[in-house]
Amino acid sequence: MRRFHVASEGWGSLRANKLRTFFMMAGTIVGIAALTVIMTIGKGTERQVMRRVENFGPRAMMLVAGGGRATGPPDAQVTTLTLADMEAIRDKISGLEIVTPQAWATRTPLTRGSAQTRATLWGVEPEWHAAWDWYVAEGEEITHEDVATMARVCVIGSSVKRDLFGDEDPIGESLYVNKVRVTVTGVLERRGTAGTGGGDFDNRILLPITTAMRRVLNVEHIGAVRMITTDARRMPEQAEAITGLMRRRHRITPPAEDDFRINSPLAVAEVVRGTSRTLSILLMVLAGLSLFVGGVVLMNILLISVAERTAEIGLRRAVGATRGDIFTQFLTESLSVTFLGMVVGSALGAGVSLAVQHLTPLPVILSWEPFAVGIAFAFLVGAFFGVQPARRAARLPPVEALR
Amino acid sequence: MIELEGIEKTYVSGEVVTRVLQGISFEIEAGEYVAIMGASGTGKSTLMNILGCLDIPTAGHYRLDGTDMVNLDDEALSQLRNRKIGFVFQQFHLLQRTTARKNVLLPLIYAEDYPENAEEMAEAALEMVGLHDRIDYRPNQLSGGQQQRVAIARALITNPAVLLADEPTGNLDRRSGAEVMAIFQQLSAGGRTVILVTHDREVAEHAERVILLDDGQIAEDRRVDQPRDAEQELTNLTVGEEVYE
Repeated sequence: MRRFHVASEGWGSLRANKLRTFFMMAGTIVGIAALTVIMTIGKGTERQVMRRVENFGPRAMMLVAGGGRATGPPDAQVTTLTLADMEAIRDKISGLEIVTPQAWATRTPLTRGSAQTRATLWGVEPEWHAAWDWYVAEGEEITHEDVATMARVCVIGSSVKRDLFGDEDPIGESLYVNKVRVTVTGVLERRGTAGTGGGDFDNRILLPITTAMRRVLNVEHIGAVRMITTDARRMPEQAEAITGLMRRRHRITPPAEDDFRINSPLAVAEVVRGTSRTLSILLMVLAGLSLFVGGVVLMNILLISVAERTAEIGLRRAVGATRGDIFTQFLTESLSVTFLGMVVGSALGAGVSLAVQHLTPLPVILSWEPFAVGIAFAFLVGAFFGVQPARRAARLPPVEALR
Repeated sequence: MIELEGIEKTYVSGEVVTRVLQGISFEIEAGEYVAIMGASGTGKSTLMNILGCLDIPTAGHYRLDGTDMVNLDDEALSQLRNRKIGFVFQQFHLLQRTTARKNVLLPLIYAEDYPENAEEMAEAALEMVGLHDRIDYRPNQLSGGQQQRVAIARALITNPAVLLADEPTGNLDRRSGAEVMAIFQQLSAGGRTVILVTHDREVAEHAERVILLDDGQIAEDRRVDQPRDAEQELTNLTVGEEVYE
């Protein structure tokens, strides 16, 4: 109880000197606000990373035509990736549960009577469904027989169904892909918009890969190979083995640039994190600087205040305050400043986070964690920068303080 | 009540040794009203700091109400000051921007147990020094004499064994000074031990006993036959005189 009364003396001077208190708080406010924004964006980013990795497949890798970029669709100009490459991977790389090719074309025109739309075309094997964990909601999947016979069949995404068939049942109906007539055997489950650019996943049409390559696209190359590993931990090693294999097959010796790339959940996560990383680093610097400079300012104002209040300290000592009491009072003053700053800073940070959420595409999630971290930092800054002035105040000999 | 035995205080600064107090011994009985007098540089302030347990002597013993303070640590000394001594200073030393009430109850904050009726105690103490209508005034709203009376109320709130006043009238006009001296005489009459430290003979002669310091030693320790009556002086002072001063 005595402690409480002694400590609460630390409040008096703050209330009496509001402007000075504000200056002492400023650094903490900005620092904690920046920290809060970093954390809300960080948490938002991680949530997005998780969702994207989930979409990509946590155990999935993609060998994609075209080098350079980290993610994104295959490079349509690159024609060096072939079914033979895919076969080589099946033969030589161990620990892969599924290896399945994908032929690929964007914005392929689809027509049915007078209705028309454009969708992404995928030439696939039946394993595609398992490789993407994506099955039909209605009708049948593409079969091995379809692939073997270059069957004129297709499975469509729900957006294509909506655009070409409306409310009609599309199963057994036909449509034209690049003037090739195919029959709809199935409709994919809805996935919604979750692509890198927020693209519509359901705006797609699947054909047997042979049909796609020979009948529709008339190409010898494929866009990508989708692989599912048996053990996610082996991915880096497998990716390296695939890279070596592909370089041998495509006769590429570094420093010549690869004409393929390998995407993995790690790479996907990197890309997502990359967008908010620059801002986070900037804010981190701001938070660090504010807290440090704010702490130094706080310490100096407190030191000045100790000098100004020498007589007060002497008086308190005379009426019975111990060195510990004086130390407690000034440390309480410092901690009160940083805690007050933390409260204002957290509110400010939450406000800025909400603004970021509304004004930018950056993902933001508000939660209690930034508040907890704010309390910790407020305590650290208040204690660290308050100790020196508090010690100086406590060490003043009462006789000199009263002189 | 107070026993001083061979008190010495020596300051060493480099090679210069200054013996400020050179063997001071005296006793003060409970209820006595004593003035410690001396010009500046006679060790008066040092003696007053030791009496107030703000400083410890280099040699000798000081027993205050039965406790020898010489070997006490900071915490014990602080508690001793809190319980046994009430200070009144020349510069009042009130906390600015703080009400009279809050100023007066300050020593209670540092007491072992904060009394539940601290606020009422502060009010009662202020009433005792005639400031019942100034309880929530701040120092800058009070005259010098009123401020010093707040300080006296503060000194009395812990019911200390000794009231230690250091030049209490030094910053006051004649009338306010007389008011303060009158309060001391009342307190003394009520049985309170009062020690007055001053350089002013006229002020000192309000006490019953004067200890004169010179060069760190006691030059004189005498009874005052006819202490000056502050109450009487107060009635003699007319408002007119105050204006002309």
